[in-house]
Amino acid sequence: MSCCQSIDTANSWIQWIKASPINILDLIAKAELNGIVGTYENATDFASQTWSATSAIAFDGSLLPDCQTVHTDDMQMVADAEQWNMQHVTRNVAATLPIPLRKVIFLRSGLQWEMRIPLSITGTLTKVELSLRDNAGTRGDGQASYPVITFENGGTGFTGSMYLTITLKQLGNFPMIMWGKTSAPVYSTFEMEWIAVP
Amino acid sequence: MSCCINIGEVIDWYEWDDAKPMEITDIVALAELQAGAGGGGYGSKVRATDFAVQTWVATAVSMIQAPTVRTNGTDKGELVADAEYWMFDHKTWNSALTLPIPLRKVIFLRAGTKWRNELRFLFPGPVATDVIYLALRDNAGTRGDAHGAYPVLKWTSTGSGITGSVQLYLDLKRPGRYHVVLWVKSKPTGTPTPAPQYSMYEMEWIVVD
Repeated sequence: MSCCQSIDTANSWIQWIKASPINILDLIAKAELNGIVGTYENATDFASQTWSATSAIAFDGSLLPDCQTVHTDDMQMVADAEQWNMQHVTRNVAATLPIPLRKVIFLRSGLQWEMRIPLSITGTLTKVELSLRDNAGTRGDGQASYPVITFENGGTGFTGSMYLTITLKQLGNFPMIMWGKTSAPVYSTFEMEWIAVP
Repeated sequence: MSCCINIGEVIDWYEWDDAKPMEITDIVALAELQAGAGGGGYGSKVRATDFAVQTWVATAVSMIQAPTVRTNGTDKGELVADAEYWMFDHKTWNSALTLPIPLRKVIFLRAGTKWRNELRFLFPGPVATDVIYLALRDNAGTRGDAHGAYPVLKWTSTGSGITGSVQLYLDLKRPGRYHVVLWVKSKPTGTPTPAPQYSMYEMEWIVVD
């Protein structure tokens, strides 16, 4: 009898659907969107929706994610982040890059670092959720809910250019989704492939 | 000094650019396309120089049926039954309209040269397809091999080109998780003949036993 399936060992969509979602807090130590700190939520609206074919969220123009240290009182750490930024291209913005690779970004992992990801939001989103993409293929946890980081901004919502600022705990490749909801509501997802490196 | 970087080990786009492309035939033992009057047959292993750097348009290709598995050993009842058992307890594609779009490209396939996977796509037209490559997605982020070329499996259309339902048959060598693309070059018609358009249909293959 099968029990407690993990997504990574699923051998078909039958097992994937029954797998346990992965806790986003296993990966992310802190996340802010436009300066607003996200909150952990067991969300019931994350996975099963009628989806817009067009995502309201995208990377912002040709801007690249960059690394900053949280140790701003330590100039050696500030310089280390500058050195990392010079030595790493975090996003390939070439217009000739095939579309399926444009979602891939490199991020620096570790509690000493914050990665700023430049995003652009079309329209106004009243709620944004961040989670691991593969969670959305499951039926959720025992309460049919999904571990996400939620961002809300009162009546103002989120629109235009902004940074998603994150601190990562782990190294690895992580397919991610930023989920957006308008007041209508219209739901859409923005897919990213994070490669978290030292 | 860095040399001979594998795509799986790169730490940023500088290194990815310099990494060595991976051979699609490390995974694929056989790939056969059937596209009706548009042509088909076994894919030719070629080094393509037009695979990676193009002006791209969004793909019009879609998957229209869950992948199926049958055995190549059709003379052995046990293998025929094994393929039926596998199909009974494996759901290869989640086609639910409520599934978020980024997960709709994920399909499960069966590894092993005893098994033939069938994938079915729709090439909707109205512009027909002239050339199809099957290749590993991540190769397109590199600068290619020493000659700026990329390992692909290639099909060239016959007649007026490929449109409609297309079957792709695959025998796969090993389990794993692979990002694979169908690279598509259109076959425009008209006077003067417009420039061809290039697109990629992305798939995430989870190849299991």
